[in-house]
Amino acid sequence: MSRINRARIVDGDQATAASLNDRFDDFSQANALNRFNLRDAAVDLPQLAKSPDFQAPFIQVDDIGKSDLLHASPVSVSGFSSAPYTSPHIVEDGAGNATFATYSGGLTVDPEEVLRIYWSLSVDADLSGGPENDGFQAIVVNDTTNAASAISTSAGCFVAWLQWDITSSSLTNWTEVPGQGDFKTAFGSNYGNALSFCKATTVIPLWASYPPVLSDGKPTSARTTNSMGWRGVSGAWHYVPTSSTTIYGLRIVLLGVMHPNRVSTAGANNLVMDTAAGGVKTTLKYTGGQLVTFVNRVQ
Amino acid sequence: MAYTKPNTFADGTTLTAADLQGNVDALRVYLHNGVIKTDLNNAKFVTTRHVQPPRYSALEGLQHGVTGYQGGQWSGSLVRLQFATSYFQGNGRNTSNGAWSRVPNTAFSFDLRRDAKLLFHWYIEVEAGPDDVPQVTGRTNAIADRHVYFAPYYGTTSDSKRNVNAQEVQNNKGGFRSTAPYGPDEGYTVCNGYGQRSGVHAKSLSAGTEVEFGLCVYSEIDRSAVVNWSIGIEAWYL
Repeated sequence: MSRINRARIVDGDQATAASLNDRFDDFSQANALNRFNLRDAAVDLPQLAKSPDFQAPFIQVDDIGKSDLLHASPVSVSGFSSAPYTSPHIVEDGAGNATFATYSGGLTVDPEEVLRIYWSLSVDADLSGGPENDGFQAIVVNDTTNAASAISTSAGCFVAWLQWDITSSSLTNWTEVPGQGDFKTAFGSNYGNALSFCKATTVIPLWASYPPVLSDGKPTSARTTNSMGWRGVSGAWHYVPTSSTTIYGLRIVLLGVMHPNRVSTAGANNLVMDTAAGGVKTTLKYTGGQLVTFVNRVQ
Repeated sequence: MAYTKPNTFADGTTLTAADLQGNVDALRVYLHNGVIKTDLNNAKFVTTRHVQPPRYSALEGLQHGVTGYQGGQWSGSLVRLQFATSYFQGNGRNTSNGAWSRVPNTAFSFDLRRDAKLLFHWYIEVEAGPDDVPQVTGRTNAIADRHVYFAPYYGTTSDSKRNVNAQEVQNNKGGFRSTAPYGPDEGYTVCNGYGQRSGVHAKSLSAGTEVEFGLCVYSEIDRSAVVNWSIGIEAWYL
Protein backbone atom coordinates (compact mmCIF):
# COMPACT_ATOMS: atom_id res chain seq x y z
CA MET A 1 0.00 0.00 0.00
CA SER A 2 1.52 3.26 -1.00
CA ARG A 3 -0.97 5.49 0.72
CA ILE A 4 -1.30 5.58 4.50
CA ASN A 5 -4.91 5.02 5.31
CA ARG A 6 -5.34 5.36 9.03
CA ALA A 7 -7.88 7.46 10.80
CA ARG A 8 -6.82 10.62 12.56
CA ILE A 9 -6.49 10.72 16.34
CA VAL A 10 -9.50 12.41 17.80
CA ASP A 11 -10.50 13.42 21.29
CA GLY A 12 -11.46 10.42 23.38
CA ASP A 13 -9.18 7.95 21.65
CA GLN A 14 -7.05 5.86 23.96
CA ALA A 15 -3.31 6.06 23.27
CA THR A 16 -1.65 2.66 23.45
CA ALA A 17 1.84 1.47 22.66
CA ALA A 18 0.49 -0.56 19.75
CA SER A 19 -1.41 2.30 18.17
CA LEU A 20 1.58 4.59 18.53
CA ASN A 21 3.90 2.01 16.94
CA ASP A 22 1.46 1.49 14.10
CA ARG A 23 1.47 5.18 13.23
CA PHE A 24 5.26 5.10 12.67
CA ASP A 25 5.33 1.65 11.09
CA ASP A 26 2.90 2.91 8.46
CA PHE A 27 5.90 4.57 6.79
CA SER A 28 7.85 1.29 6.50
CA GLN A 29 6.59 -0.12 3.22
CA ALA A 30 9.43 -1.41 1.07
CA ASN A 31 8.64 -1.47 -2.68
CA ALA A 32 5.39 0.32 -1.98
CA LEU A 33 5.94 3.82 -3.33
CA ASN A 34 4.05 4.05 -6.60
CA ARG A 35 1.99 6.37 -8.75
CA PHE A 36 -0.11 7.49 -5.78
CA ASN A 37 3.00 9.26 -4.44
CA LEU A 38 3.63 11.20 -7.63
CA ARG A 39 1.96 14.35 -8.80
CA ASP A 40 2.02 15.80 -12.27
CA ALA A 41 5.47 17.08 -13.29
CA ALA A 42 6.97 15.76 -10.06
CA VAL A 43 9.94 14.10 -11.78
CA ASP A 44 12.63 16.54 -12.85
CA LEU A 45 16.39 16.43 -13.31
CA PRO A 46 17.18 15.91 -9.60
CA GLN A 47 15.13 12.70 -9.57
CA LEU A 48 17.13 11.16 -12.43
CA ALA A 49 20.49 9.51 -11.93
CA LYS A 50 23.41 11.50 -13.28
CA SER A 51 24.61 10.57 -16.76
CA PRO A 52 23.96 6.83 -16.69
CA ASP A 53 24.48 6.71 -20.49
CA PHE A 54 21.00 5.32 -20.95
CA GLN A 55 19.68 7.21 -23.96
CA ALA A 56 23.05 8.02 -25.53
CA PRO A 57 25.49 5.36 -24.36
CA PHE A 58 28.34 6.10 -26.78
CA ILE A 59 29.97 8.90 -28.74
CA GLN A 60 33.33 9.03 -30.50
CA VAL A 61 34.92 11.39 -33.01
CA ASP A 62 37.85 10.36 -35.25
CA ASP A 63 39.83 12.48 -37.68
CA ILE A 64 40.15 10.90 -41.12
CA GLY A 65 42.28 11.74 -44.14
CA LYS A 66 44.90 14.47 -44.01
CA SER A 67 44.44 17.81 -42.29
CA ASP A 68 45.39 20.19 -45.09
CA LEU A 69 42.85 22.99 -45.25
CA LEU A 70 44.45 24.97 -48.08
CA HIS A 71 45.13 21.89 -50.25
CA ALA A 72 48.89 22.30 -50.13
CA SER A 73 49.62 18.58 -50.53
CA PRO A 74 46.47 16.50 -50.72
CA VAL A 75 46.21 12.71 -50.92
CA SER A 76 45.69 11.40 -54.49
CA VAL A 77 43.81 8.32 -55.67
CA SER A 78 44.08 7.30 -59.32
CA GLY A 79 41.02 5.98 -61.06
CA PHE A 80 40.93 2.20 -61.07
CA SER A 81 42.04 0.63 -64.35
CA SER A 82 40.78 -2.94 -63.92
CA ALA A 83 37.46 -4.44 -62.96
CA PRO A 84 36.64 -6.07 -60.67
CA TYR A 85 39.14 -4.26 -58.49
CA THR A 86 41.30 -6.02 -55.90
CA SER A 87 41.05 -3.62 -52.95
CA PRO A 88 39.37 -0.24 -52.64
CA HIS A 89 41.35 2.80 -51.52
CA ILE A 90 41.23 3.24 -47.74
CA VAL A 91 41.11 6.86 -46.63
CA GLU A 92 44.58 7.65 -45.28
CA ASP A 93 46.77 10.45 -43.95
CA GLY A 94 48.98 10.93 -47.01
CA ALA A 95 51.82 8.92 -45.47
CA GLY A 96 50.29 5.53 -46.15
CA ASN A 97 48.61 5.21 -42.77
CA ALA A 98 44.94 4.29 -42.96
CA THR A 99 42.69 6.56 -40.89
CA PHE A 100 39.59 5.00 -39.39
CA ALA A 101 37.63 4.54 -36.18
CA THR A 102 38.57 1.85 -33.69
CA TYR A 103 36.69 1.06 -30.50
CA SER A 104 38.59 -0.05 -27.44
CA GLY A 105 37.40 -3.53 -26.52
CA GLY A 106 34.76 -3.36 -29.22
CA LEU A 107 31.57 -1.33 -29.38
CA THR A 108 28.53 -3.51 -28.78
CA VAL A 109 25.28 -2.23 -30.28
CA ASP A 110 22.10 -3.98 -29.12
CA PRO A 111 18.80 -4.41 -30.99
CA GLU A 112 17.17 -1.71 -28.87
CA GLU A 113 19.81 0.77 -30.04
CA VAL A 114 20.56 2.59 -33.28
CA LEU A 115 24.09 3.12 -34.56
CA ARG A 116 24.44 6.57 -36.10
CA ILE A 117 27.45 7.33 -38.33
CA TYR A 118 28.29 10.74 -39.81
CA TRP A 119 31.41 11.56 -41.81
CA SER A 120 32.88 14.29 -43.99
CA LEU A 121 35.82 14.75 -46.34
CA SER A 122 37.10 17.47 -48.67
CA VAL A 123 37.66 16.25 -52.25
CA ASP A 124 38.68 17.44 -55.70
CA ALA A 125 39.02 15.80 -59.12
CA ASP A 126 42.03 16.13 -61.45
CA LEU A 127 40.72 15.57 -64.97
CA SER A 128 43.90 16.44 -66.82
CA GLY A 129 43.65 13.15 -68.73
CA GLY A 130 40.30 14.15 -70.20
CA PRO A 131 38.02 11.28 -69.15
CA GLU A 132 34.68 12.97 -69.82
CA ASN A 133 33.98 11.29 -73.17
CA ASP A 134 35.60 7.89 -72.55
CA GLY A 135 33.91 4.57 -71.85
CA PHE A 136 30.29 5.06 -70.79
CA GLN A 137 30.82 8.72 -70.05
CA ALA A 138 29.29 10.19 -73.22
CA ILE A 139 26.41 9.91 -75.63
CA VAL A 140 26.66 10.82 -79.32
CA VAL A 141 24.42 13.33 -81.12
CA ASN A 142 24.61 15.13 -84.42
CA ASP A 143 26.14 18.57 -84.22
CA THR A 144 25.35 21.60 -86.38
CA THR A 145 27.30 20.05 -89.25
CA ASN A 146 25.42 16.75 -88.84
CA ALA A 147 28.65 15.12 -87.73
CA ALA A 148 28.60 12.72 -84.80
CA SER A 149 29.54 14.64 -81.68
CA ALA A 150 30.05 13.31 -78.16
CA ILE A 151 28.41 14.95 -75.18
CA SER A 152 29.47 13.84 -71.73
CA THR A 153 26.70 12.62 -69.45
CA SER A 154 28.58 14.29 -66.57
CA ALA A 155 27.57 11.29 -64.49
CA GLY A 156 31.10 10.01 -63.84
CA CYS A 157 31.78 9.72 -60.16
CA PHE A 158 33.81 8.18 -57.38
CA VAL A 159 32.01 6.38 -54.59
CA ALA A 160 32.80 6.34 -50.89
CA TRP A 161 31.28 3.73 -48.62
CA LEU A 162 31.52 2.26 -45.14
CA GLN A 163 33.26 -0.94 -44.12
CA TRP A 164 33.44 -2.39 -40.61
CA ASP A 165 35.20 -5.19 -38.77
CA ILE A 166 32.89 -7.12 -36.47
CA THR A 167 35.20 -10.11 -36.06
CA SER A 168 38.08 -9.09 -33.82
CA SER A 169 40.27 -6.24 -32.67
CA SER A 170 43.01 -7.49 -34.98
CA LEU A 171 41.11 -5.61 -37.72
CA THR A 172 41.83 -8.10 -40.49
CA ASN A 173 38.25 -8.89 -41.46
CA TRP A 174 36.82 -5.75 -43.01
CA THR A 175 33.47 -6.19 -44.72
CA GLU A 176 30.79 -3.94 -46.12
CA VAL A 177 28.23 -2.74 -43.57
CA PRO A 178 24.65 -4.10 -43.91
CA GLY A 179 22.82 -2.76 -46.95
CA GLN A 180 26.08 -2.05 -48.74
CA GLY A 181 27.66 -4.10 -51.56
CA ASP A 182 31.32 -4.21 -52.56
CA PHE A 183 30.84 -3.09 -56.20
CA LYS A 184 32.11 -6.46 -57.46
CA THR A 185 28.81 -7.88 -58.72
CA ALA A 186 28.98 -8.76 -62.43
CA PHE A 187 26.45 -7.13 -64.74
CA GLY A 188 27.39 -8.60 -68.10
CA SER A 189 30.98 -7.53 -68.58
CA ASN A 190 30.72 -4.75 -66.02
CA TYR A 191 31.17 -4.80 -62.26
CA GLY A 192 29.40 -2.74 -59.66
CA ASN A 193 26.40 -2.58 -57.33
CA ALA A 194 22.68 -2.47 -57.86
CA LEU A 195 21.54 0.81 -56.33
CA SER A 196 19.63 -1.16 -53.72
CA PHE A 197 23.02 -2.19 -52.30
CA CYS A 198 24.38 1.34 -52.03
CA LYS A 199 22.80 2.21 -48.69
CA ALA A 200 26.07 3.35 -47.09
CA THR A 201 27.42 4.99 -50.25
CA THR A 202 28.17 8.64 -50.93
CA VAL A 203 28.51 9.57 -54.60
CA ILE A 204 31.25 12.07 -55.44
CA PRO A 205 30.55 13.73 -58.82
CA LEU A 206 33.66 14.65 -60.79
CA TRP A 207 32.79 17.07 -63.59
CA ALA A 208 30.09 18.94 -65.47
CA SER A 209 30.40 19.20 -69.26
CA TYR A 210 28.03 20.94 -71.63
CA PRO A 211 27.88 22.41 -75.17
CA PRO A 212 27.93 26.19 -74.65
CA VAL A 213 26.65 27.02 -78.15
CA LEU A 214 23.42 25.65 -79.63
CA SER A 215 21.87 26.39 -83.02
CA ASP A 216 18.45 25.12 -84.01
CA GLY A 217 18.63 22.70 -81.13
CA LYS A 218 21.97 21.29 -82.20
CA PRO A 219 25.29 21.83 -80.44
CA THR A 220 28.43 22.96 -82.12
CA SER A 221 31.50 20.87 -81.43
CA ALA A 222 32.54 23.24 -78.63
CA ARG A 223 32.36 21.90 -75.07
CA THR A 224 32.87 23.48 -71.68
CA THR A 225 34.04 21.02 -69.06
CA ASN A 226 34.53 22.00 -65.45
CA SER A 227 35.93 19.85 -62.69
CA MET A 228 33.73 19.89 -59.58
CA GLY A 229 36.67 21.53 -57.80
CA TRP A 230 37.41 21.36 -54.11
CA ARG A 231 34.29 20.69 -52.14
CA GLY A 232 33.13 19.14 -48.92
CA VAL A 233 31.28 15.82 -49.15
CA SER A 234 29.54 14.02 -46.31
CA GLY A 235 27.71 10.82 -45.52
CA ALA A 236 25.34 9.41 -42.93
CA TRP A 237 24.35 5.85 -42.08
CA HIS A 238 21.96 4.57 -39.40
CA TYR A 239 21.62 0.93 -38.40
CA VAL A 240 19.54 -1.04 -35.90
CA PRO A 241 21.08 -4.53 -35.48
CA THR A 242 18.82 -7.58 -35.31
CA SER A 243 21.08 -9.06 -32.63
CA SER A 244 23.82 -7.67 -30.44
CA THR A 245 26.76 -6.76 -32.68
CA THR A 246 30.27 -5.83 -31.54
CA ILE A 247 32.14 -3.45 -33.83
CA TYR A 248 35.94 -3.21 -33.66
CA GLY A 249 36.56 -0.77 -36.50
CA LEU A 250 34.79 1.40 -39.06
CA ARG A 251 36.33 3.04 -42.12
CA ILE A 252 35.66 4.89 -45.39
CA VAL A 253 36.88 3.42 -48.70
CA LEU A 254 36.94 4.96 -52.18
CA LEU A 255 36.48 3.59 -55.70
CA GLY A 256 36.14 5.10 -59.17
CA VAL A 257 35.47 5.97 -61.88
CA MET A 258 31.84 4.83 -61.80
CA HIS A 259 28.89 5.43 -64.14
CA PRO A 260 25.17 4.60 -64.00
CA ASN A 261 24.19 1.43 -65.86
CA ARG A 262 20.95 -0.42 -66.44
CA VAL A 263 20.70 -4.11 -67.26
CA SER A 264 17.37 -4.41 -68.99
CA THR A 265 17.06 -8.16 -68.42
CA ALA A 266 17.59 -7.80 -64.70
CA GLY A 267 15.58 -4.61 -64.57
CA ALA A 268 17.94 -3.06 -62.07
CA ASN A 269 19.63 0.31 -61.99
CA ASN A 270 23.29 -0.12 -61.21
CA LEU A 271 26.45 1.85 -60.56
CA VAL A 272 29.37 0.15 -62.35
CA MET A 273 33.09 0.72 -62.82
CA ASP A 274 34.21 2.41 -66.02
CA THR A 275 37.89 1.58 -66.36
CA ALA A 276 38.16 3.45 -69.65
CA ALA A 277 37.75 6.69 -67.72
CA GLY A 278 39.98 5.51 -64.86
CA GLY A 279 43.72 4.99 -64.68
CA VAL A 280 45.72 8.16 -65.19
CA LYS A 281 42.80 9.98 -66.80
CA THR A 282 41.05 10.73 -63.53
CA THR A 283 42.53 11.36 -60.10
CA LEU A 284 40.57 12.02 -56.95
CA LYS A 285 42.30 14.20 -54.39
CA TYR A 286 41.24 14.61 -50.78
CA THR A 287 42.29 16.24 -47.54
CA GLY A 288 40.63 15.85 -44.14
CA GLY A 289 37.36 15.17 -42.43
CA GLN A 290 35.82 13.54 -39.40
CA LEU A 291 33.98 10.33 -38.60
CA VAL A 292 31.38 10.51 -35.82
CA THR A 293 30.10 7.37 -34.11
CA PHE A 294 27.01 7.79 -31.95
CA VAL A 295 24.73 5.23 -30.34
CA ASN A 296 21.15 6.00 -29.28
CA ARG A 297 18.69 3.83 -27.40
CA VAL A 298 15.40 3.71 -29.28
CA GLN A 299 13.36 1.26 -27.19
CA MET B 1 16.32 1.65 3.11
CA ALA B 2 12.70 1.85 4.01
CA TYR B 3 11.83 3.83 7.11
CA THR B 4 12.31 2.02 10.41
CA LYS B 5 11.29 3.84 13.53
CA PRO B 6 14.22 4.15 15.96
CA ASN B 7 12.06 3.68 19.07
CA THR B 8 9.41 1.01 19.67
CA PHE B 9 6.95 1.60 22.43
CA ALA B 10 5.85 -1.08 24.90
CA ASP B 11 2.95 -1.33 27.29
CA GLY B 12 3.84 -0.43 30.88
CA THR B 13 6.83 1.75 30.04
CA THR B 14 6.97 5.50 30.32
CA LEU B 15 6.29 7.34 27.09
CA THR B 16 8.99 10.04 26.84
CA ALA B 17 8.99 13.15 24.72
CA ALA B 18 12.50 12.29 23.55
CA ASP B 19 11.48 8.88 22.15
CA LEU B 20 8.45 10.28 20.43
CA GLN B 21 10.41 13.21 19.00
CA GLY B 22 13.16 10.81 17.93
CA ASN B 23 10.72 8.88 15.78
CA VAL B 24 9.36 12.07 14.28
CA ASP B 25 12.85 13.42 13.56
CA ALA B 26 13.86 10.16 11.87
CA LEU B 27 10.72 10.31 9.80
CA ARG B 28 11.51 13.87 8.72
CA VAL B 29 15.00 12.84 7.61
CA TYR B 30 13.62 9.87 5.72
CA LEU B 31 10.97 11.82 3.88
CA HIS B 32 13.41 14.53 2.83
CA ASN B 33 16.48 12.54 1.98
CA GLY B 34 16.04 8.87 2.66
CA VAL B 35 13.86 7.36 -0.06
CA ILE B 36 15.92 4.80 -1.98
CA LYS B 37 15.12 2.63 -4.95
CA THR B 38 14.07 -0.42 -2.91
CA ASP B 39 11.30 1.71 -1.46
CA LEU B 40 9.83 2.07 -4.94
CA ASN B 41 7.41 -0.30 -6.55
CA ASN B 42 9.11 -2.56 -9.08
CA ALA B 43 6.41 -2.09 -11.71
CA LYS B 44 6.68 0.96 -13.98
CA PHE B 45 4.53 3.70 -12.50
CA VAL B 46 5.98 6.97 -13.76
CA THR B 47 4.01 8.14 -16.78
CA THR B 48 4.44 11.13 -19.06
CA ARG B 49 2.34 13.41 -16.93
CA HIS B 50 4.62 12.85 -13.98
CA VAL B 51 7.69 14.16 -15.82
CA GLN B 52 8.47 17.86 -15.76
CA PRO B 53 7.60 19.13 -19.27
CA PRO B 54 10.45 20.74 -21.23
CA ARG B 55 10.69 24.47 -21.56
CA TYR B 56 10.61 25.83 -25.09
CA SER B 57 12.40 28.99 -26.10
CA ALA B 58 10.93 30.23 -29.35
CA LEU B 59 13.69 32.78 -29.87
CA GLU B 60 16.46 30.17 -29.70
CA GLY B 61 14.40 27.35 -31.19
CA LEU B 62 15.41 25.14 -28.29
CA GLN B 63 13.61 22.97 -25.79
CA HIS B 64 15.23 21.93 -22.54
CA GLY B 65 14.01 19.06 -20.40
CA VAL B 66 15.14 16.14 -18.32
CA THR B 67 16.68 14.41 -21.35
CA GLY B 68 18.66 17.46 -22.49
CA TYR B 69 18.40 20.04 -25.24
CA GLN B 70 16.84 19.56 -28.65
CA GLY B 71 16.10 22.15 -31.29
CA GLY B 72 16.88 23.83 -34.55
CA GLN B 73 16.96 27.09 -36.42
CA TRP B 74 16.85 27.98 -40.07
CA SER B 75 17.21 31.02 -42.24
CA GLY B 76 13.49 31.40 -42.71
CA SER B 77 11.26 31.46 -45.72
CA LEU B 78 12.86 34.61 -47.11
CA VAL B 79 16.31 34.72 -48.61
CA ARG B 80 18.44 36.74 -46.23
CA LEU B 81 22.06 36.59 -47.25
CA GLN B 82 24.69 36.16 -44.57
CA PHE B 83 27.83 37.60 -46.02
CA ALA B 84 30.85 35.34 -45.89
CA THR B 85 33.28 37.56 -47.66
CA SER B 86 37.03 37.80 -47.50
CA TYR B 87 36.49 41.41 -46.43
CA PHE B 88 35.79 39.99 -42.98
CA GLN B 89 39.13 38.26 -42.90
CA GLY B 90 41.18 40.89 -44.67
CA ASN B 91 41.74 40.70 -48.39
CA GLY B 92 45.00 39.12 -49.44
CA ARG B 93 45.51 36.72 -46.56
CA ASN B 94 47.06 33.45 -47.54
CA THR B 95 46.68 31.67 -44.25
CA SER B 96 43.59 30.54 -42.40
CA ASN B 97 45.17 30.93 -38.96
CA GLY B 98 43.16 33.38 -36.92
CA ALA B 99 41.23 34.54 -39.93
CA TRP B 100 37.88 32.93 -39.23
CA SER B 101 34.66 34.80 -38.56
CA ARG B 102 31.32 33.71 -37.19
CA VAL B 103 28.51 33.33 -39.72
CA PRO B 104 25.83 35.59 -38.23
CA ASN B 105 22.89 33.88 -36.51
CA THR B 106 24.09 30.35 -37.16
CA ALA B 107 24.86 29.43 -33.56
CA PHE B 108 23.35 27.97 -30.40
CA SER B 109 24.34 29.22 -26.97
CA PHE B 110 23.14 27.53 -23.77
CA ASP B 111 24.37 26.04 -20.52
CA LEU B 112 24.45 22.36 -19.64
CA ARG B 113 22.91 21.15 -16.38
CA ARG B 114 24.40 17.67 -16.67
CA ASP B 115 27.25 15.90 -18.38
CA ALA B 116 26.07 15.48 -21.96
CA LYS B 117 26.83 14.10 -25.38
CA LEU B 118 26.12 16.63 -28.13
CA LEU B 119 25.61 16.57 -31.89
CA PHE B 120 25.54 19.82 -33.87
CA HIS B 121 24.00 19.41 -37.34
CA TRP B 122 24.49 22.07 -39.99
CA TYR B 123 23.55 22.81 -43.59
CA ILE B 124 24.32 25.77 -45.82
CA GLU B 125 23.64 26.87 -49.38
CA VAL B 126 26.35 29.16 -50.72
CA GLU B 127 27.03 31.44 -53.65
CA ALA B 128 30.69 32.34 -54.11
CA GLY B 129 32.17 34.90 -56.49
CA PRO B 130 32.91 35.86 -59.13
CA ASP B 131 36.13 37.24 -57.69
CA ASP B 132 38.44 38.05 -60.58
CA VAL B 133 40.80 40.36 -58.76
CA PRO B 134 44.23 39.60 -60.24
CA GLN B 135 46.40 37.06 -58.49
CA VAL B 136 49.26 38.29 -56.33
CA THR B 137 51.71 35.53 -55.55
CA GLY B 138 51.87 34.85 -51.84
CA ARG B 139 48.89 37.07 -51.09
CA THR B 140 45.95 36.34 -53.34
CA ASN B 141 45.33 32.94 -54.89
CA ALA B 142 44.73 32.29 -58.56
CA ILE B 143 41.14 33.05 -59.54
CA ALA B 144 40.34 29.37 -60.05
CA ASP B 145 41.90 28.45 -56.71
CA ARG B 146 39.88 30.69 -54.41
CA HIS B 147 37.51 29.08 -51.96
CA VAL B 148 35.23 29.94 -49.12
CA TYR B 149 35.54 27.50 -46.22
CA PHE B 150 32.81 26.80 -43.68
CA ALA B 151 33.38 24.89 -40.48
CA PRO B 152 31.38 24.11 -37.37
CA TYR B 153 33.01 25.30 -34.16
CA TYR B 154 32.58 24.72 -30.47
CA GLY B 155 33.44 27.47 -28.03
CA THR B 156 35.42 29.85 -30.21
CA THR B 157 36.24 30.05 -33.89
CA SER B 158 39.74 28.82 -32.98
CA ASP B 159 38.28 25.39 -32.28
CA SER B 160 41.13 22.97 -32.87
CA LYS B 161 38.95 20.83 -35.13
CA ARG B 162 37.93 23.75 -37.33
CA ASN B 163 40.43 23.07 -40.09
CA VAL B 164 39.66 19.33 -40.17
CA ASN B 165 35.91 19.84 -40.28
CA ALA B 166 35.86 22.64 -42.84
CA GLN B 167 34.09 22.20 -46.16
CA GLU B 168 34.78 24.47 -49.09
CA VAL B 169 32.92 26.03 -52.01
CA GLN B 170 34.80 27.12 -55.10
CA ASN B 171 34.87 30.61 -56.60
CA ASN B 172 32.79 31.28 -59.71
CA LYS B 173 35.99 31.30 -61.66
CA GLY B 174 34.64 32.61 -64.95
CA GLY B 175 34.88 36.19 -63.74
CA PHE B 176 32.69 38.99 -65.07
CA ARG B 177 31.61 39.72 -68.61
CA SER B 178 33.39 42.63 -70.19
CA THR B 179 30.42 43.60 -72.36
CA ALA B 180 26.72 44.08 -71.73
CA PRO B 181 24.87 42.46 -70.19
CA TYR B 182 27.41 42.73 -67.44
CA GLY B 183 27.48 40.15 -64.71
CA PRO B 184 29.01 36.74 -64.10
CA ASP B 185 30.35 35.26 -67.31
CA GLU B 186 29.41 31.72 -66.24
CA GLY B 187 26.38 30.53 -64.37
CA TYR B 188 26.44 29.40 -60.76
CA THR B 189 26.71 25.62 -60.89
CA VAL B 190 27.73 22.97 -58.41
CA CYS B 191 31.26 23.18 -59.80
CA ASN B 192 31.38 26.91 -60.25
CA GLY B 193 30.47 29.24 -57.42
CA TYR B 194 27.52 27.36 -55.94
CA GLY B 195 27.32 24.62 -53.34
CA GLN B 196 25.30 23.00 -50.61
CA ARG B 197 27.25 21.57 -47.69
CA SER B 198 26.25 19.74 -44.54
CA GLY B 199 27.94 18.08 -41.62
CA VAL B 200 27.89 17.05 -37.99
CA HIS B 201 30.11 18.20 -35.12
CA ALA B 202 30.16 16.06 -31.97
CA LYS B 203 31.39 16.63 -28.42
CA SER B 204 31.16 15.23 -24.90
CA LEU B 205 30.87 18.03 -22.37
CA SER B 206 30.55 18.40 -18.60
CA ALA B 207 27.77 19.84 -16.49
CA GLY B 208 27.98 23.58 -16.04
CA THR B 209 29.59 24.18 -19.42
CA GLU B 210 28.52 27.30 -21.29
CA VAL B 211 28.01 25.79 -24.74
CA GLU B 212 28.36 27.63 -28.02
CA PHE B 213 28.09 25.67 -31.23
CA GLY B 214 28.02 27.53 -34.52
CA LEU B 215 29.36 28.00 -38.01
CA CYS B 216 32.42 30.04 -38.92
CA VAL B 217 33.86 31.04 -42.25
CA TYR B 218 37.24 31.71 -43.81
CA SER B 219 36.99 33.21 -47.28
CA GLU B 220 39.49 33.81 -50.06
CA ILE B 221 36.69 35.25 -52.22
CA ASP B 222 35.76 38.90 -52.04
CA ARG B 223 32.05 38.37 -52.61
CA SER B 224 30.49 35.22 -51.18
CA ALA B 225 27.41 34.66 -49.10
CA VAL B 226 25.30 32.08 -47.35
CA VAL B 227 21.94 32.06 -49.12
CA ASN B 228 20.14 29.58 -46.86
CA TRP B 229 21.16 27.73 -43.74
CA SER B 230 19.86 25.52 -40.98
CA ILE B 231 21.34 24.23 -37.74
CA GLY B 232 20.20 21.65 -35.23
CA ILE B 233 21.39 20.52 -31.82
CA GLU B 234 21.00 17.35 -29.77
CA ALA B 235 22.34 17.36 -26.21
CA TRP B 236 21.75 14.09 -24.40
CA TYR B 237 21.93 14.12 -20.59
CA LEU B 238 20.91 10.51 -20.07
